[in-house]
Amino acid sequence: MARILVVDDDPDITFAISLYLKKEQHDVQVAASRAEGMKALDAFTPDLMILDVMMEQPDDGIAMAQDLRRAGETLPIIMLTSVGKVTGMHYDRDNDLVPVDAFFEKPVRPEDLLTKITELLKT
Amino acid sequence: MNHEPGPPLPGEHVKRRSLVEQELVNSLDWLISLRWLAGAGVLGAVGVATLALGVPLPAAALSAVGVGILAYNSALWWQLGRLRRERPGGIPAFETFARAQIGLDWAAMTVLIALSGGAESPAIIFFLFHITIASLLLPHDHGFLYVSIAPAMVAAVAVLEYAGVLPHVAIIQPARYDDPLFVSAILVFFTAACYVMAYCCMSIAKRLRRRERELGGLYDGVRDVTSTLEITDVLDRIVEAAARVLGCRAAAIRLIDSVRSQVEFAASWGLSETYRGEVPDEYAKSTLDQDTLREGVVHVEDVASDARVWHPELVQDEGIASMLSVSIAGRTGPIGVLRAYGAPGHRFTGEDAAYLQAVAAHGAAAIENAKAYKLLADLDRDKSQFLRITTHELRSPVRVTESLLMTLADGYAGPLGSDQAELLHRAQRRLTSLHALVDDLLDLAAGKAQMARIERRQIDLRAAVADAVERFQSVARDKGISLTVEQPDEALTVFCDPADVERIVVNLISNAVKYTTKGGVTVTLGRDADGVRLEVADTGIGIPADALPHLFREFYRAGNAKATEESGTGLGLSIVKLLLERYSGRISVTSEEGLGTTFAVTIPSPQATDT
Repeated sequence: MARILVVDDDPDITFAISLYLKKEQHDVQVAASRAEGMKALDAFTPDLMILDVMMEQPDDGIAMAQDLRRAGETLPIIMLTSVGKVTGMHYDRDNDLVPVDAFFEKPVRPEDLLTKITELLKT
Repeated sequence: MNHEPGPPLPGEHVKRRSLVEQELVNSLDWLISLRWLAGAGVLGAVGVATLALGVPLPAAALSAVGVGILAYNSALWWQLGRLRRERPGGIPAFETFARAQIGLDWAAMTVLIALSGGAESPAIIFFLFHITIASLLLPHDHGFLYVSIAPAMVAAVAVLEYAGVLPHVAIIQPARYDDPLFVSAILVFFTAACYVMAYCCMSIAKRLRRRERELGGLYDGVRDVTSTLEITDVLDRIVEAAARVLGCRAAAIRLIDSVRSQVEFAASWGLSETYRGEVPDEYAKSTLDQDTLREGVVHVEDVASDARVWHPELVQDEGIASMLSVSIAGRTGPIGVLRAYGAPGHRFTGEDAAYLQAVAAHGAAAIENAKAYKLLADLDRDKSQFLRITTHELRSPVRVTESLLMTLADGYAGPLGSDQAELLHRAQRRLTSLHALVDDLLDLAAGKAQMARIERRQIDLRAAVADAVERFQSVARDKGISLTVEQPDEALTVFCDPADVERIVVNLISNAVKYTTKGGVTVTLGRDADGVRLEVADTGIGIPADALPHLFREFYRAGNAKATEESGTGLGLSIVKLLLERYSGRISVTSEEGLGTTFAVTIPSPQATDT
């Protein structure tokens, strides 16, 4: 249904997510680093992005989200973290530091992620 | 401006002279005290001499002098007090004051002598007291000149009496004051005594001053060593102090690395950068350093003719003619050398060597302290880094595996047979336990390692509780128990790291829900005298009395807890306790087996300014 770009350096995570996203008829593209992600953004023009916080650098995902927003990208971004804490974190599309629309701690239930995707794509 | 006397403020670099200044003030004080006795003594002596012994003295005039002495002593006493309080010009002001005192005294004494027999007066001897005191206390630039005043005054009196200008008071019969031989003899011996006395006292004083300076230098050194851990600053000060005390051209500390291959200047004073650059840094090439380490002290009396000096011309170009070198002994062996450099004409003495060795000991202490501190700092950094890496390396695989299994379990890779589902769920349960254990262990380790950068914020406890309750609401529902919150309308803010607060609240509520099968869990928020209070009360299995003392121990799980619930790390409460300790919080528990448990947590919190 929608074009979704998944940026995460862990191939197991991207495998699992792609699996169920495709099951839901989404068109999925995978990128394994921030640099690859930026390239894929231009080439693939996704409707929504799923970003991991920690890739090559500890805050790669967050930095990438900041860059995207500054460049004027308004697409919905869902952030995933495997070591961080979500509670107490302030995030919002317009937030300076963490400009994402949703934040999940891994492991995220597939149906929770899918629900959120549907919700964000509607707006 | 008023200065408080006493120990220097921490960190303030005390100038050397304050020790010397203190000495001077004490001496002047002592002089004034003596003078009370002197004045009284004059009066007493006059009384005894005229009344008891019948010596024909001009009692009235002499008493007037005695009273005069007491009078000007009072003025001096008051002036010293004023000088002490206001400290107008530091040492020079005190020195002028001292000279004034001594001048007044000598004037008084001259009058006394004129009134008590002139060249025949036994009181002449008292001048020597004064010369002693002046030579010991005062600086010696014009020392001998000043000392000449006394014999000059006495000579003047004697000559004037001889010439008949001054009336002679006859205290012995027959009078001798007009006998040129007698008078000359007295004057010559007296003058000689004055100069000899002055010379002896000045020499002693010089040695005492030198000791004072050394002590001052050592005192400063000790203070520096214990005050700052910037090792370079400490060594710089040590080296400068050494050079000043010894009165030599330069001083330096050279440190040797542990394998005895390199030696380099760790601090220097008075040496040019070119010179320091030229000196070889290979230990093997530096004969002087090697000898110093071996023998402890090395004195190079003449740079030009000593074979140990590696490049005499360069050394002489630097203006150095002699060197004194002592080894700096660390705990496990020598770690370097402390070297003093003398300009042409300077001579190092055995005392200098002894002093340098004392200074070297300070240097050693400072260096070892700094090394130990650096080692600890490195260790701490390594530990933090290890923990950071471990955290990621442990957490990540667990979570990724959970994600993979979730995908499978939720049917996204195709439908599962019942056996497949069962196996999968068992694996997932174990993985969930592992997830919890890893998280708890890492929390505990991070808390203990103090590496966690605690970022405090103003947090409303009600929000934290609301989040946690929401998290466990579905679990509670599934179990058929209630989970409710009672809280006031006012905000209950604490100044803590939100992650810590979340952890505390979640652990307590999670426990309560886990060990309750009927009834429910009530979370109560409020304030008490000590701060913000959180109570988690359940109607669960309760805690046996014998388990209560061990509750907060790591990995401890009470017997009935283990029986009820398989999963549980036993770390939850120890983590809560650890986190609370960060904020001076407290936790208490009341429980009855079979009926329920209540945990009460108090976190100190600023009062009444909550909005």
